[in-house]
Amino acid sequence: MDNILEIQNLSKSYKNFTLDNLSFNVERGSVMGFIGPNGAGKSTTIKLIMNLVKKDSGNINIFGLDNLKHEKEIKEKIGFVYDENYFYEELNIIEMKNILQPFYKSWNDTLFEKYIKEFELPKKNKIKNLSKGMKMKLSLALALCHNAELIIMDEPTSGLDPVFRSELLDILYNVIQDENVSIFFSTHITTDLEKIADYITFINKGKLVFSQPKDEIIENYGLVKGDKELLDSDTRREFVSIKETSFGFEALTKDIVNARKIFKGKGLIERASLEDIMVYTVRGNG
Amino acid sequence: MFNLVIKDIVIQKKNFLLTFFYTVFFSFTFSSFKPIGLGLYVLAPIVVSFMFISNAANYDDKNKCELVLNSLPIKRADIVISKYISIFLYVIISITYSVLIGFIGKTAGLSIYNISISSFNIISVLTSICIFSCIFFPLYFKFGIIKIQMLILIPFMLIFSLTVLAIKYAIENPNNILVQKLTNTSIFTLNFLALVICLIILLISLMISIRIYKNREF
Repeated sequence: MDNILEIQNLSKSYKNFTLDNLSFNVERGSVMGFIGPNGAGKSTTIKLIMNLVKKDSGNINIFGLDNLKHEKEIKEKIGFVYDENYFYEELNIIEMKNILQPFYKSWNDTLFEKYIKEFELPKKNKIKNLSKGMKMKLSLALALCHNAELIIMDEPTSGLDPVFRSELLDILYNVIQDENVSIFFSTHITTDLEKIADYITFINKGKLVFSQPKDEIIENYGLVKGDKELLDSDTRREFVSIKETSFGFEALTKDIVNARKIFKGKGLIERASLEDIMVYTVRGNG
Repeated sequence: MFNLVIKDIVIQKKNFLLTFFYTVFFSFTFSSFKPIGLGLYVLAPIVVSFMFISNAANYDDKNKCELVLNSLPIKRADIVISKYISIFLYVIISITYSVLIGFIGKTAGLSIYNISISSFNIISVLTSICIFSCIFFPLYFKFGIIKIQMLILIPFMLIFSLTVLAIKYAIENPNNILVQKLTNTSIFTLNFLALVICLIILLISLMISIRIYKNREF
C-alpha cells in the first residue's frame, strides 16, 4: 500500500498555539478521520497541507511529491471542501463553476451536471440564497469533478442538520467505492466517522495522540465503570483519565483486555466510542 | 492567469452599468473645469478604473474567496500578475466609456461634449492609475482589503487632487520654468516618458507584491 499523504515532523507556531512535530500517513484509497477538539490544530494542519500557511519545519508529501515544490501539480488532483463556503456569493452555481473549471486540466462537466441533479441544486440561484447544506453540497460537487485522488475536507458537517449530514456521508460513501480516491476528513463530530473512516488520527493541543486503524482503536479502548473502591494507585495507572462522582467512577483505558483481567467480575467494562476516547483523552491531558 | 482576469470581470458585471452612469455624472459635474474635457476624459476614467480595481479586490476579500483561489492549482505569483494586468483592462474600459459618452453627447449637439479625447488625456489616466495601483496592490496583498479600506482612499484622493491641481497650476502659471519646459517638450515625448516611468514603477511594485503574497498566510 502506498501513502497518498505523508506528514513528517510538521511544526507551526503561532502566538498562543503550537502544532508540535506532527507525523502521520494516509493510505491510498482510505478514509482518514482527523479528530480533535476545537483549537486542537485540525484547521492549521489542513491549511499547511494546502499551503495556505507556511510551515516552520517538517515535510508534507502528497502523491509522493513535496507539497511546496510541486504545488500546482498536486492541487490538480486535490478536491477541497472547507468548513465555510468561500464563494462569490453574487454569482449563481453555473457562474461559479465556470470560474473554477478552467483552472483544472481534467474537469468533467458531465459529472458536474450529474451531481447537480443528484444533489437537487438550483442552477440559477445566487449562491448567497442557498442554505448552508446546499452550499456544502455545491462545494462537494465542485471538489469531485476534476478526478481528484485526494479529497480534503475541513469540518464539512459542522453546522449541518442530521439529515444533511447523513446525506453527505452517503455521498462520501459512494465516492470511496472508487479505490483510487482517498479522503482526509476533519471533524469534531466523531459519530460521522464511525460509519466511513478506515483510520483515525487524533490530535489535541497541537500534538498527535494517535493515528491508527479505526477498528484497532475500537477494539483496544474501553470504558470501565464501577465503585470508587476499585480505584487505588495501581488501578488508576491503567486509565487515560477518570471521571469520579459521588456514586462511582467512569474511566477510559487503552487496553480493554488488560482491564478485563484486572476488574474481572467487579466493574462494568464496555467498548468506548470515538467520542468517549476524545472526551477522556482531552480531559486527561488537561 | 487570464482566467483570473476574466474572473475579475465576471464577478463585477453589476458594476458595468453603475460605472457607466458615473462617467455620465462626472462629465456633467466637472464640465466647468478647465481644460474642457478634463472631467469626461481624465477624472471620470480615473474614478471608474479605481472603482473597478477596488471592487474586484473587495469581492475577493468579502467571502474570503482567496482561500479558494489559493487552493486551486494556481501559482500565487499568477494571482498577483493577473491583478496588475487587469489594471490596463479597467483603464481601457473606462476610457471606452468616456469616448462613447463623448461621442453620443457630441452627436446630440451638447456643447460640453464638443471636444475629443487626446493622447495626453489617456496618458494622464494611465499614469494616475498606475501610481495608485503601485501603492494599493502591495498593501492589499499584505493586509487584505478590509484592513486598508479606509486607507486606500488616501492615495486615491491624493493622486486625484494632484492631477486636478497640477493641471490647474499649469494653466494659471504658463510662465513657470517647469511648465514652460513641459509645454515646449513635444506631447509625444511627454507621453512616452510618462509611459516608461509608469511601467518601471509598476514592475517594481509587481515584484514587491509577488514577494509579499508568497509569504501571505490565510
